[in-house]
Amino acid sequence: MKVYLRVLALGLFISVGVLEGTHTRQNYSCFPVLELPSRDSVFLNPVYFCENSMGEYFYYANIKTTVCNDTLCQLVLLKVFWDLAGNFTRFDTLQGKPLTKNDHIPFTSQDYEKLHYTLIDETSILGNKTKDELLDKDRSRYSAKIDGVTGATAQEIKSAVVEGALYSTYTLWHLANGTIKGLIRKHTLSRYNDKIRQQLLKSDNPPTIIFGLKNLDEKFYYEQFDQIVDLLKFGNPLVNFYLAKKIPEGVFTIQKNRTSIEEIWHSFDRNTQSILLKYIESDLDK
Amino acid sequence: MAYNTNDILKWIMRILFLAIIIPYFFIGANDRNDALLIEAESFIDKGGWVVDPQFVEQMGSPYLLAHGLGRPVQDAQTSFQIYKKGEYNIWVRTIDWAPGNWEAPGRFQLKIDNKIFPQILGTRKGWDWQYVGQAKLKKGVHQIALADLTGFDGRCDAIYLSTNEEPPPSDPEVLADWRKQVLQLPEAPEQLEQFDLIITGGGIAGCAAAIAAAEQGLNVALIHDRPVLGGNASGEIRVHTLGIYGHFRRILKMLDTEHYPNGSPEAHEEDIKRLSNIKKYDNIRLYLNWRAYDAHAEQDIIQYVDAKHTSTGERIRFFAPLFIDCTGDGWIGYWAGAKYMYGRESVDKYGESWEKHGEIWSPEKEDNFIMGASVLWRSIELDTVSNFPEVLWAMEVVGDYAAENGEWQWEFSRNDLHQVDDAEQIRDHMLKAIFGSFYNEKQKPGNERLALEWVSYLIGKRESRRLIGDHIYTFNDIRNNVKFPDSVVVEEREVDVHYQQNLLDPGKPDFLSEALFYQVDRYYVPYRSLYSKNIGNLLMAGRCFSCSHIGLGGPRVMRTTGQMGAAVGYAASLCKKYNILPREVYQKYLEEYMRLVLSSDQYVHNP
Repeated sequence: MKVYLRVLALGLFISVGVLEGTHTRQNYSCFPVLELPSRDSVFLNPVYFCENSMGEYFYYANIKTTVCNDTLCQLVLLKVFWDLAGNFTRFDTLQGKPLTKNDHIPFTSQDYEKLHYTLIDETSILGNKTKDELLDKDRSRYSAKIDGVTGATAQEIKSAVVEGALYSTYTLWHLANGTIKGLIRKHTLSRYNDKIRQQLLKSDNPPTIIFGLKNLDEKFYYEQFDQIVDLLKFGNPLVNFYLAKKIPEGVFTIQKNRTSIEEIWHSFDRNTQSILLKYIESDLDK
Repeated sequence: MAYNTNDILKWIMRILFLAIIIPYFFIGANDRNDALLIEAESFIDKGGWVVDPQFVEQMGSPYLLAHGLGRPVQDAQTSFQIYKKGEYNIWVRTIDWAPGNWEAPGRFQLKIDNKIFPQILGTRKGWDWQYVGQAKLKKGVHQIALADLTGFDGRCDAIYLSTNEEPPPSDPEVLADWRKQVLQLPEAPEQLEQFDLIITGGGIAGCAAAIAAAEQGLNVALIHDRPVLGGNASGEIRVHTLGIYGHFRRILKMLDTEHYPNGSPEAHEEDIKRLSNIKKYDNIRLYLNWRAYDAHAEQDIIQYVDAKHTSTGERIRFFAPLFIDCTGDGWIGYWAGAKYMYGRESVDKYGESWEKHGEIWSPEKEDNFIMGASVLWRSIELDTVSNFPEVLWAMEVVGDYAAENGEWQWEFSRNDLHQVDDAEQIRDHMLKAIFGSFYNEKQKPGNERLALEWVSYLIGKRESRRLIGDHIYTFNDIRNNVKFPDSVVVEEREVDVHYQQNLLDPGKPDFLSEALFYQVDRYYVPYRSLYSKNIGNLLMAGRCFSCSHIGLGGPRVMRTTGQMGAAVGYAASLCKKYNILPREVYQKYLEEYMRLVLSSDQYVHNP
C-alpha cells in the first residue's frame, strides 16, 4: 500500500509542475527567503518575505502537499500567510484549485471558515497527535475517552477539523504551525530594525506582540513608556502579564509612569494586578 | 411528637456515647464550667453534612460542610453536657463563602433542644464567630443541631457557649491557642506510636510505598486524612490514573483505575479494590481520617510526625527512623524544614524553553502561575422534572457560560492565589463555576429533567510545593531521554503542562484550562529526585517530588507517581536493612537497590 501511495504522490508531484507561477496577482513585493518542505517531503515550498503597499512586512508560501488517507492521495494547494513572528494569519486558495473534502466535494464557505479558525489556533489538539492517532480505534469508549491529561479523543479531533477533510486539515495545520515558525522568527531577527519592531508591537496577535517585546532592550521601557501603556490598554491578559513582570522596576520610580498605570488599573486582569501591585501607592481598590 | 423504638434506642445510645466521650474529646469546657466549645466535626450524627479537613492549615480546623448540591441537607446533631445552669451566649464560627449583594449561599440555623434560633448563620465575610443568641440552659445533657437552609455549602467550624458576653478570639493565632486552652489539650499528643516507616498521604504514591515497604518486612503506618484511599483517584475526587506501570505493574495493578471518564462513579469500585489490597498486608497500619499537622526535625532528621483525627480530634505522635512525604503539598517536608520550590521557574533557570508555545509554556521571568486545581462534577437526566435554584452569587464568575458536566479542563489557577494557602478560595471559586454553569444549562429548553448528580467538594491539585532532592528533575531530562544509574521510574507519556484559557482569550471563563502536550520518547526519573536534599530521613513520592514546574508536566500522573511510591518503599527497606539514610542507598547500595526495583514484578506476596 505504501508503494502505491508513493507512486500516487509522485504522479501528483509531476502533474503539479505546471501550476508553478500561477499565483494571484500581487500588490506587494516579495522575494524568497526560506524553504518549507511539505509534510510528505515531496515538495519544497519557497517562503517569500514581502512588503505591501502600506510598508508592512509578512511572509507567504504557495503550499503544495499531498494528503493521503488509507486508500487515496490528493494534492492540496493553498497560499498561506504568516506574520513577522511566524504566526499563521490567513490563507487564500489558488485560482481554480479549491480545497476539497470527502474525496472531491469542494469546500463550502463554512468549511473555509472552520479551516481558518483551526489553523490560527496554535495550541490546537492537532499539534499533539500523530497521523496514526487521528482515528480512535476504540469505538466502545468513544465519548468516554475525553481525557485532557493524556491527549485528545476522536470527538475532540472531530471538532477541531473540517468535516470530511481530516487529513487535509491535519496536514495544513502542521505546515502552518510547525517548524516554519522558528524559521521565520530567525529570519525576522536577522533583519530586525525599528520598523519591524514597531510592526510587531502594533500587531493584534498577542504572541506576536510578545515576540516583539522579547527583543526590546531595557532603555525602550524608559524612553517609550507611552507605547508600553498603549499595549497595556490593549488589554490582552498574556501581554499584560508578561509586561507586568518585564517592566524594569526603575520605570516606576517616575511618578508620571506610576500615574499612567494607576489610571488604567481597573482594566487589568487579576494576574497582571498581582504583579504591579507593589508599584502602586494610591488608595486604589486593589 | 411520637417516637418509635428505634428513635428512643438511638437517643439512648447517643447519651451513653456522650457520657463516654465528653471528658476526652472535642467538646471542651473551661475551669469554671460556664463555657463550652463544641467542634462541629465531632458531632455524633452528621446528618447530611460532611467533614471537610482540607483547609485546616489556613482556617484552623476541620469543619462541617452542607454540601447538598442546592438541596438542604439533613441536620447534623449532637449532645452536650452543661455543668452549670445559666443564660448562655452562643457563637458559631462560620463564613459567608460568596459574599456580595445577594443572600449568602451557605445559610443555616442552630437548634438547641429543638428550639431554633432565628439568627441566620453563614452570613459573615471571612472565617469568624457569628453571634447566634442566648439560651437558658439547665444542668444536664442538651441536644444541638445545625439546620441547613440551602444545600449550598454552608459551613460550621465550631460552636461556643458561654455565660460571659465576650466572644471567642478572631485572630487565627490567638484562636489556635485559645482552642487548645478551652479544649484542655496537652501540648503534645499523649498517644505515641513507633513504626519502621511513616508514610503520610494515602494517594496512589503513598499506597504503593506502603505495599513495597511492607512486602520487604517493614512495619508501616499509612496516615491519610480521608475515609478512602486513592487521593485524586479516589471516589471522592475521581481522576482516572494515567501513565505506565514501569517496573511496578504488580503493585500498581492493586491500586490504579480503569480508564473511565474523569468524574465517573466507577471510581468507587476502585476504592474498594484498593482498600482490600492494602488490608492484605498485616504490617501496614492504616490511619484513615487522620491528618498530619506537624513534623519535627532535629539536626535535619525528622523525629516524629503528629496527626489528629479529623472528627474526634484525638492526636497521635508517630515516631520512626524514616518518613515518606506523599501529601502532595509536601507538608512533612515543609514542617520539617526541607528545602522546596513553588512557582514557574524562568525559562532560563533550567533551559526549559519550547519556542512554539513561548510564555505560556515557560515564562521569561518566574511567577506563581502554576497549574491549577480541578473540581470534577456531573449531572444526570432524571425521569421527572428537577428544579435548581437561582445562584446569583455564582453569576459574576460564570457570566452566561453553561455546562452539564465538568472534566479536567475545569481548573483554576491565578498568579495571586497560592495552591496551598488559598486552596479554600480556589475550591469555592470552582463551586461557583459549577453551580453557575449548571444553572445556566438548566435554563435551556429541554433540560427540565437535568439534575446535578455529583459535585466533589475536594479539590484535585496538580501542582503545589515541590521538595528539593539531590537531583531536580527538569524538562531536559525528559526531552533528552536521560538514563540515570538510578532510573527507578519510567514513563512514556507526553509532557503535559496546563495554562488558563483566559490568558489567551479574555472572553473565556477563568475556570477553564488548556493543555500543551510535548511528545516524547521514554524518559526516566532518578531515585535522587525522591529524597530530600537537606532532611536526612525524608523520602518523597507524588507531585511533591524534586522537579521543576515543567519537569513535573510528564511524571505528575498517578501511575507514574505510584512508581515513585513503590521505588521509595523499596529504598526504605534498604535503609532499615543497613541502618542507613536514603542518600546512602544511592551512594553505597545502588546495585542492590536497582535489583530490588527491577525484580518487583517477580515478587510473590503470601499473606
